[in-house]
Amino acid sequence: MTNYANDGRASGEERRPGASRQWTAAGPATARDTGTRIREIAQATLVTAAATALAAALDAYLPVAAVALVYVCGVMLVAVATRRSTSIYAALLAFLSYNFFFTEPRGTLRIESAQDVVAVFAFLVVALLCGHLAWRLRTRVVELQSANRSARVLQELGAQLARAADAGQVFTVGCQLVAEALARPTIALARGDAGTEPRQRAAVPGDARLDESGRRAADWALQHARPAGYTTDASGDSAWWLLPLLVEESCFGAIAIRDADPGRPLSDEDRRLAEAMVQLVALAADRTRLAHTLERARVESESERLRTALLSSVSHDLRSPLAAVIGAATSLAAYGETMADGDRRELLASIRGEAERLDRYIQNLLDMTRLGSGPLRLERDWIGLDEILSAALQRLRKLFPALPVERELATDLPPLYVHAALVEQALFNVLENAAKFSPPAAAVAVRASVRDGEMTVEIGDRGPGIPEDERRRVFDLFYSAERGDRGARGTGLGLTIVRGMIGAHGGRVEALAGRGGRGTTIRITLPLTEPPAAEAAESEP
Amino acid sequence: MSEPSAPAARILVVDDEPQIRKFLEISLRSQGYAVAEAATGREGLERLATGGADLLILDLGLPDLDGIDVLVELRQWSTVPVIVLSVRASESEKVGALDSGANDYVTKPFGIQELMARVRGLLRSPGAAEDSPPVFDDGSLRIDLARRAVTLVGEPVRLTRKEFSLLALLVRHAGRVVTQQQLLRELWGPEHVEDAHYLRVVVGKLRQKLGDDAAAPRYLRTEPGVGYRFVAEAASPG
Repeated sequence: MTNYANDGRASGEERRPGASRQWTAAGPATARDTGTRIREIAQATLVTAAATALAAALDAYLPVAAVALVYVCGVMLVAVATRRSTSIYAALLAFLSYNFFFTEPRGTLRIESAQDVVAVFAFLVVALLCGHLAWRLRTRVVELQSANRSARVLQELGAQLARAADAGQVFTVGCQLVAEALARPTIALARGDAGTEPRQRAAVPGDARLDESGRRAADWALQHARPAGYTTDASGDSAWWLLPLLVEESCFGAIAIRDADPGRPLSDEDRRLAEAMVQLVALAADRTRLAHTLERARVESESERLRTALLSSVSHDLRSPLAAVIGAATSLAAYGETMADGDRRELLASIRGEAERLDRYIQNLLDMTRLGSGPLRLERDWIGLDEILSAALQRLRKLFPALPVERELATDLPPLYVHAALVEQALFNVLENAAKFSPPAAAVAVRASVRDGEMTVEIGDRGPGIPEDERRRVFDLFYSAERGDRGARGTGLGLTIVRGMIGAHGGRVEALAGRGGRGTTIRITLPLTEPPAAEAAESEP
Repeated sequence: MSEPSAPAARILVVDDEPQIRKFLEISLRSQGYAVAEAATGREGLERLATGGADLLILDLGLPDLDGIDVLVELRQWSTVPVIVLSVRASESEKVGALDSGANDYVTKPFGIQELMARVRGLLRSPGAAEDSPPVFDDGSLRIDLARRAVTLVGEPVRLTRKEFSLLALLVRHAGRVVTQQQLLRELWGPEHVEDAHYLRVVVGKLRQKLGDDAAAPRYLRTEPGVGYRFVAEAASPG
């Protein structure tokens, strides 16, 4: 603990002080290591013995100097397959065997001629050198292979993490790939909310669970934001190795790898790889967390904006008629007696008209809440468009008695299977809007036709029109609500409601340029349903 | 109300709501004023520039121009008194309008008599008031601005200099709102326009000395978030 108090997290080696020596090649042998050593010594001895036998067989045909080459080959073989110390042992053994069996006098370690002494020691130097070179070569190849594999694994992990859309996927992908790369059971843990247990977010294999000591190690790792468990000072008795997921010193989870596997310890490279992978997972998780936070902030500010806009729209739409009602009523009360009859009647008509306007706004508001609270329950029935249209026009005529309306309905319109009241409200809102923007005496045109299994109803006015780039937006709640006070009188929520009601029937609403480029045409498209075989029912005897 | 004998005062109403224009027109006309109307800020400015008016009633929520912009523009060439119509709960808008040159405001929705009181207050000849400071006397409270004497039911009221200055300023604008900032600037200087608590203390003392109840003041009415108003007329019913 003490030796990494001053930030010993620069490299993987330093993260496991005290423990690291156990598994680096230079460290003292563990029991597992001793077994390997004995095996390698035995291999070296066997190879040397074989080399001796081969040399003996060749002795009759070759000069003694050539026999030495057989031994050098043996040393190289050993060096390529084992560690460095074993290759030195093989070189020494070969030297002694050569000396014992092949230099005169044979069968002793003595050497007679000075020439042979030089040859024998030259042989020793060559054997050591070859052994060393062969060992270096092998080490380099192994390193390259391992680096190559790490690079591939990390690249794959990076690519998969980049596709992860949320923290859950990051945990799943990370856990999966770490487990595959190391061939170890792996568990991804997320730090719980304050004071709660860490939650297991992913595990490979699926039924992998932390044991008691593993949980202790996980708690420690999460709390201290440092590796814990197997081979570390914290809960070193655990079979699990816990690597914290860190972003800028804060720990939001951990990856647990089941390390204690007596037969196959994780190699240095594996451990470094694991650490690099965990780092990638941490970064990816942080990225999704940030994206999530941003998204939430955006949604919150958007709904806040919408609420403000709605509120200002509602207060404007409700207050304007109220101000007129109160003003007209107080005028009548204060000065009614001195007013001309016509003025009095006008004020009364104004009070009534504004009260009715209030009533319509309130109806719109109720419709909005109806549309806003989950899916609309449609009470569908068969009804002709002309019937719905007449009802809507009747209501319109009360408000705009002088408004000319041109109707142009195709003669063979099939019946609609719709919630009549809602479609009537939608038509009324569009008509009211058209009437409001129509210049005096200009007609509002209603056309209906059937095309491609859909009914199209177009309502056109000769008003100022809507700029092309705003046509899409007129049905937006934002659009109508934000214009609120500044918009044309009573823009209100009417068109937003139209879209909601038509949308509930699977239809659509569009704003188009008016015929001949003047005014606006609102096109409502409703899907047609095949009517039930009513005729067949009637033709029954 | 009797018809004014002089030529009728001309009032221009600028509001985008036809129903509001309608009752204003009928009521103002029934009180003997000549009324012109405009539905947008542009139209209002044009009418004022071409036809003139003795008073402007201006809605702050216009479709084309912000009411404040209209005020700023017309104040460059006109001193016509302006009453703005504003919705409740936007004190900063009212203060902004008053700072931009509006003379008074009425909060929508409003009763017609509240507006009429403001109209009368603004149409009272301002020139005469400045030549000879008026004496306010409602039988109980008497304020003689020239002699700096205040009596309450015949008893002299001793006011500090600040108290008297505040009272005098409000009385000179009797019936109209004076913004907090305006009062602070005139009484304490421009560096104290944020020190609203000074004002609260002096107004409190003044109310005490005039026997005015802060909860239902007879003379010094608080316009929350905006300023103060000296009520010259007997409290209007409703």
